[in-house]
Amino acid sequence: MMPLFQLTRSSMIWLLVSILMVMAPYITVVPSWLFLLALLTIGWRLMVHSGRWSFPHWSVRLALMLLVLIGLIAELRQNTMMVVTVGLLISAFLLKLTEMYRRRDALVVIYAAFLLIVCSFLFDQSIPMALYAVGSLIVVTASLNTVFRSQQNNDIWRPLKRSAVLYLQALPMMLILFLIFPRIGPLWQVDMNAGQSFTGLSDSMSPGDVSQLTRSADIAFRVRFDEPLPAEKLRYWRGLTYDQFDGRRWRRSDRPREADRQRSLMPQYQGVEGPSTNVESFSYLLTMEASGQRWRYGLDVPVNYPGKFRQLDDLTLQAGQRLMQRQQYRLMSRVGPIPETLSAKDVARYLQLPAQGNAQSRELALTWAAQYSEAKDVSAQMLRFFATDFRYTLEPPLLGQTDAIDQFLFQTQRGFCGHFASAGVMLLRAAGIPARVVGGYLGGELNPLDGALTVRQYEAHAWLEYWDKSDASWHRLDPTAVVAPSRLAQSAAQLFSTEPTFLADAMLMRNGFLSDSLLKQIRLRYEAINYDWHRWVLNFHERQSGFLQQLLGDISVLKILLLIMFPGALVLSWVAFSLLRHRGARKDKLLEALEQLDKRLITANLQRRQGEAMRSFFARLTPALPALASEFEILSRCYEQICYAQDADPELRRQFKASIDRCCERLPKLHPVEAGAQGVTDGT
Amino acid sequence: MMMGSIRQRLGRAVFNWSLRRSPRLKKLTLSQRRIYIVPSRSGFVFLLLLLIMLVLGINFQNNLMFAVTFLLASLFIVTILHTYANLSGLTIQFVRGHGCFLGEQAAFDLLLTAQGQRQYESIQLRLHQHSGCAVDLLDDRQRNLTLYQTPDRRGVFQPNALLIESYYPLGLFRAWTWVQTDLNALIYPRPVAGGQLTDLRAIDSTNPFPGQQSERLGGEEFAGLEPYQPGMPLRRVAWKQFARGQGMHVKHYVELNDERRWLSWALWPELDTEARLSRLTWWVLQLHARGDDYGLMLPGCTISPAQGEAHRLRVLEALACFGLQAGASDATGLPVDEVDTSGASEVEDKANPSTLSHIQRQRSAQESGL
Repeated sequence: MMPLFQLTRSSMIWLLVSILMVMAPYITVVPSWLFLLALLTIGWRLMVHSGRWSFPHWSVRLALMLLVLIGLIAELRQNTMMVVTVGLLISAFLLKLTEMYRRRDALVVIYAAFLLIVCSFLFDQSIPMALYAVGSLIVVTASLNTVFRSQQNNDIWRPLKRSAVLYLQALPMMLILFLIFPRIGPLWQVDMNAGQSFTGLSDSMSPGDVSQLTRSADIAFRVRFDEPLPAEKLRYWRGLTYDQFDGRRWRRSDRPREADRQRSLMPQYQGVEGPSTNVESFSYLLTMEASGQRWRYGLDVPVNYPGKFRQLDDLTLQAGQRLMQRQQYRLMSRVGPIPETLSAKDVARYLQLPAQGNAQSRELALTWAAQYSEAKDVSAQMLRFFATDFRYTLEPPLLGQTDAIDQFLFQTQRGFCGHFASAGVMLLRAAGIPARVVGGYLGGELNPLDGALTVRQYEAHAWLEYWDKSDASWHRLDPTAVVAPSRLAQSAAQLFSTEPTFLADAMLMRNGFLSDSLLKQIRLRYEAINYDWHRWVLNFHERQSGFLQQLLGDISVLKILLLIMFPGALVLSWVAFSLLRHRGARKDKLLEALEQLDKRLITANLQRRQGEAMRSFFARLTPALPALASEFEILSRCYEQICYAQDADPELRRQFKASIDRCCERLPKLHPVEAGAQGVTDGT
Repeated sequence: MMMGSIRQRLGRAVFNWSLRRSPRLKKLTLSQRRIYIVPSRSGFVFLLLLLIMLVLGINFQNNLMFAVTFLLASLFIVTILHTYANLSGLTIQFVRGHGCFLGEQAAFDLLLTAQGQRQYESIQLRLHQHSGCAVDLLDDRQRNLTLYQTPDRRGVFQPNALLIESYYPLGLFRAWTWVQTDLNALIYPRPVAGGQLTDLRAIDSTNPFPGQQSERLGGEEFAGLEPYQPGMPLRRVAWKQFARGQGMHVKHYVELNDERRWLSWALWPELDTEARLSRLTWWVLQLHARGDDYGLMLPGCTISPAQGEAHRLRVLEALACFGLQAGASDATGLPVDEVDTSGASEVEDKANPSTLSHIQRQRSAQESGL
């Protein structure tokens, strides 16, 4: 016969609050029917608690469990493994509620709640989420506290206070552990968030794709420069290049080759003749949001990059894994043409065009090629062509399946950067000039508060690069710059603010809600804090060694140990002191006054005996000190009035005190008596 | 299985070691010399949980996961101090043990005193495995409580070592100590009904002290007046005297009674020792309830007939200790008398036949509060 573990009322309340708090962050993540399950089990548990229902029969529990399992397996088709695993954890946690008999069952629920709090960081790592998690931790710990309280104690707020105090005391040590604990790489490969959709560029591009991105105000990455920022017209963030064209879409070649490690970019560049004023290099720290892709953005040409990245032969950066989480890296880039000696095979690759189609465009290109021999003249001619009748718009007319570029160049003549870049590369290639489309971002909003540049999805951009064999370098060419010169000078937000689809997915920003001066200030402040949050907390593993070096100089085991031990011991002794400090019980004011008199009486062994009533004490004193008889009368009357008649009149206390003082004054010199001579008669 | 036995043996070794270093005391304040603290089972599960979180944090390179893991780890460490503080400074005084009949539960009174203004929550005190109570000392500085243990034989009974433990605040650690209680309770033989009143009469003839009479209240003989106290039956008020203005008195009647009975060892030769003691005990209770005079004759011990509470206790004590080594009660360093006279007034109402249910009521109240 198992004793029924009856949760106390406070325990029940805190447990329910913690379940709700722990589940709330998963609303957008896990299938919504799990919340129905939550309502069912919580409701049932409440009914059990109030004594109206009994615990569900085992067959009901089994049926529920099977249903949930089937449901989760079905979810596996639409959702990722990760979501299903978390769903499994949540449903186990909820089903346990229906069979919570003993303390141990309550513990299972609470420990699962701890685990769920941790797992919620898989889906959201923002500051509000972190604060929320701290709140949940405190509440869950409070319910853990209620489980271990005695049943008589039903004070509802006490566990919360206790739990908050515990966390406050734990905080310093947590900080130390956080700073010191060595961050090692993943123990095994986890494929998280596969199937999650990201906004951003993808590895193939059709002309209309980029304009889709302008619907979103999501952040693509943030950058903080060490030195002054590059000029606005230089803020081209290269992500990837597309070199394969099938008439409609651009793709990157299937097996991108790694750049030649020996290819030293800086010196070679400086050796090239040309206006050396263009040579600028910038170093900066870039925090890239999860993109689900392997390439990493960088300003123009990164020359210094973390060892975990590879540089491809188009000088874009590539990481080993898809980016599923915000990542931070430090780069140094230089701006300007990219020297490269192309082999015949490479030249063929960058001249690739579909065998047929777009005849009109090819013809135009060939006339340019006949007219000019230099690549830069052809490109200049092309820019002039674009500058004539073309319009830059977010909503270009739809193009047909075949000869789309002809249609764009000669009929519609309205397009977004993707159209211009793709048509431009096609024209240059047709004219025999190696060229490629570059995908990335242009611009970035400067946050004056922390000097960081925020690049958002609507700043996605496509431009092109052509290879000039005269100086054996790639040159950037941005047709958009001539069609809509203001795109370079002002932010996309200013440029497109009248277009209906611009920021269609981010209405708040679009309506100027967040661009009003005050709100903008708040938004910028928030983003600045957020940026530091990303830099210092979410990406601490990237910065840890640098930080520790800064803090400790050379890192040695001894120093690390000291760093743990010293503050750790300090904090713990502070906690121990505050807990174990011997605080005397608060003394009664009357007794305190009486003690004064007692001290004087002690020489004559007349002091008050243990447990002696006040009246009998004074009665005993009266024959010994007849001079003070009247005072003793007052004292015992006052004392009894205050203590037994519960008279709160302050006058009485004053009288008592005054009388004690008079007694002390008028007390005759007492002669020490042998213990027993006088004391024995009244002591028992 | 293997692990279990090792655990048990280890536990026993620690227990014995701990008792060796703790003498029996009347009063004791818990300090670091006494309090043992190790992670509880749920504490170990919590550590396992932390390990899982750490692996998650490492694998997803998620610094917030690290942060929560470390926060919980430091919480774990801080809890050591809290659990320890929940016992340390607590003073336990062993007040007294209450005698009882075999088969009932012996009660032991304790007094817990908090140190200074410190608060103690959910402290569990147990004398044996299955029963105990949880105490809070929040606003009140002192708390009386009674623990129960079922004795297994009559005579002077010493309770098991007292286990004081606490899992508060989070159940991650168990802080505990064992204390040898300096308490005794006299356990009387289990009263078992049997025999006839006439059996006692039959023995009456062998009365070595004939001719003694005792007065018994409520008889026919008028013995005098005594001052009226509230609660005395009104029909016995001496109204005549009252009418004369001599104050309110009641008439006092006694019954002259020469039925002094002897409870003798020799009464029921067919029974074995314990059964005889049990029957004698039952008769003590019966005769006491009737208000008869009774005496006790045991081999080596004769108590002349008398009545009253003190007499009853003397007789019961003789029955309780009959046949046990004289040293049994001396071993505690306390004369048996002292044990039960200190609790005489309580014993009085506890030892009547309703005691058992009384104690059980108390006990179930304690247990429901666990």
